[in-house]
Amino acid sequence: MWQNLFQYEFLQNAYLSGILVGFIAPLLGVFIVSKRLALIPDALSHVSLSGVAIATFLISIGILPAAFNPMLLGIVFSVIGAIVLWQLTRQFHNVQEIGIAIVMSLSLGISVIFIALAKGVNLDLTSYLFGSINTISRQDLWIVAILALSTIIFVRLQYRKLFAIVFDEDFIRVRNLRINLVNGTFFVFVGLVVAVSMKIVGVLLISALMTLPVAIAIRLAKSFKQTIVYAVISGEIGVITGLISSYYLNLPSGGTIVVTLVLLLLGVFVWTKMKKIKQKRLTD
Amino acid sequence: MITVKNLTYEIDQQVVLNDINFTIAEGDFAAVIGPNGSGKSTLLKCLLGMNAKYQGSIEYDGLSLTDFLKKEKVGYVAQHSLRYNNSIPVSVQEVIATGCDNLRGNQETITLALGKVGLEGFEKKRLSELSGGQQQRVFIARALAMHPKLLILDEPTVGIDQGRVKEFYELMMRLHREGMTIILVSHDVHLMNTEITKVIAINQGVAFNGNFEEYRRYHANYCECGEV
Ligand SMILES: Nc1ncnc2c1ncn2[C@@H]1O[C@H](COP(=O)(O)OP(=O)(O)OP(=O)(O)O)[C@@H](O)[C@H]1O
Ligand SMILES: [Mg+2]
Repeated sequence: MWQNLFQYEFLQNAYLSGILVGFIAPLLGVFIVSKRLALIPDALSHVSLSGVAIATFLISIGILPAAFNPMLLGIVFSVIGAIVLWQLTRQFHNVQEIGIAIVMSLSLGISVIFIALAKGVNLDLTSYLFGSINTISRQDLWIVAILALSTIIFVRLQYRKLFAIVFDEDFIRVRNLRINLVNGTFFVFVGLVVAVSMKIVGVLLISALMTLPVAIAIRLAKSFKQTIVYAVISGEIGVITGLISSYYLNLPSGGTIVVTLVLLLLGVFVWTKMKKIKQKRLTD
Repeated sequence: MITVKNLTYEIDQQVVLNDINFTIAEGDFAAVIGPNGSGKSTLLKCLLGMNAKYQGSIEYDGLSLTDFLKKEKVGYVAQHSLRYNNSIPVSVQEVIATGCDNLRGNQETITLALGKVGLEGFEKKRLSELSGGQQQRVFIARALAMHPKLLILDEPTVGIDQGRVKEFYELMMRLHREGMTIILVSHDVHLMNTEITKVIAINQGVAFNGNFEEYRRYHANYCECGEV
């Protein structure tokens, strides 16, 4: 495998972009899950898919050139969707879950309609739904790399504000700190990361990469910072295992990543339970 | 310091606060009392700008809340500080850091604030592993870490054991003597009567507004609104 990794550009693209997404998806995921917004990445991935479907339709009727990359419209849609969902969660606290569900089904409906309308253009739907890591180009890799770098810089610089918002937004408002810009930018980053990860893990599994590592981390961590560290480590374990097994066993990478993460979660669950039982025995 | 004029607030077309008027001077220790559902928490949220769509006016030294907050710090302890997502690991010092300057937790401030609420050595503990009363005290410590000019607390002693409640009121009195303005929603006003400079009893509207002595006389006559 190592030899091929040096030899084949597509493998390099796949592995490097996978590792980058394995870092930033859980990183943002920690904040999303803490805010009880775990449905948002799922909704955004569907919004993003509807962008891809509409682009494909526009290509089929000649409005967009055949060389146009449908992903670009997917990214635009995802970012707009992120801003809409941000406003929704801000202003309609009580109905935010239903709102998210409506956005999700609406965009799935739009996707289905435009995929059907886009006759003549072959849209490889499964590769968007489940990811196809081997189709990632050098250009895609660059996009992922720049996004990863800016996500990490953003979180690093705004970490304290992001944490304060996630933990207790009311309190932080009374401190008169400007949080709207940080909050909005965060949602835009989520939109970007979801859209860009689509090719790597697929529409149906991207939210898993944002939430499963967090589910693992919260069983182990004692602080928010630790949660982030454990979530990123779990994300990378999932991605790297997924990539390796897809190489040797020829399994779809998105699926193996998610299954690995669930197994890891189970393992951690059993381990922490056993530790607790042991502790109890010691104290009894 | 605070002037509230003709404050009316509705939720879903239902009047929750009806034409509230009162003032709180700098250095006051004000107790807001009233039965469940009378609008105490709603009133505090109006004061703090969380309920923005009210009628009437609320002024801080003649300024809007936003302008006032540019100059002064206001600390807040919410009624159910346990609204946060308890499954997420957060350490005690991370919580208190959100009350420190620039959100940057400085070790000295954190230790000092924890000491004030009797939680020495709890810095590294996970918040969800603390009892409800201990958690409540962490939130009080966070507000204290701000060194606020005005401290607003919504039933801060709920869930705290009796010994600690006494300690808590002693702390409040000390802070008050040091010059802090305090607004406290509470049902156990009797525990700190000597210190209270103002009692505001509400039940949609203001049922009573005066000092503690006047309140005692008022309360002896009509027993229906306060719960002292
Ligand atoms: N989000 C809401 N939606 C609808 N009604 C609300 C909402 N929040 C408060 N209310 C209503 O407003 C009224 C005042 O509520 P509030 O929480 O201010 O009372 P309170 O005096 O703080 O009561 P308690 O002593 O129980 O804390 C209540 O009748 C309540 O039903
Ligand atoms: Mg209340």
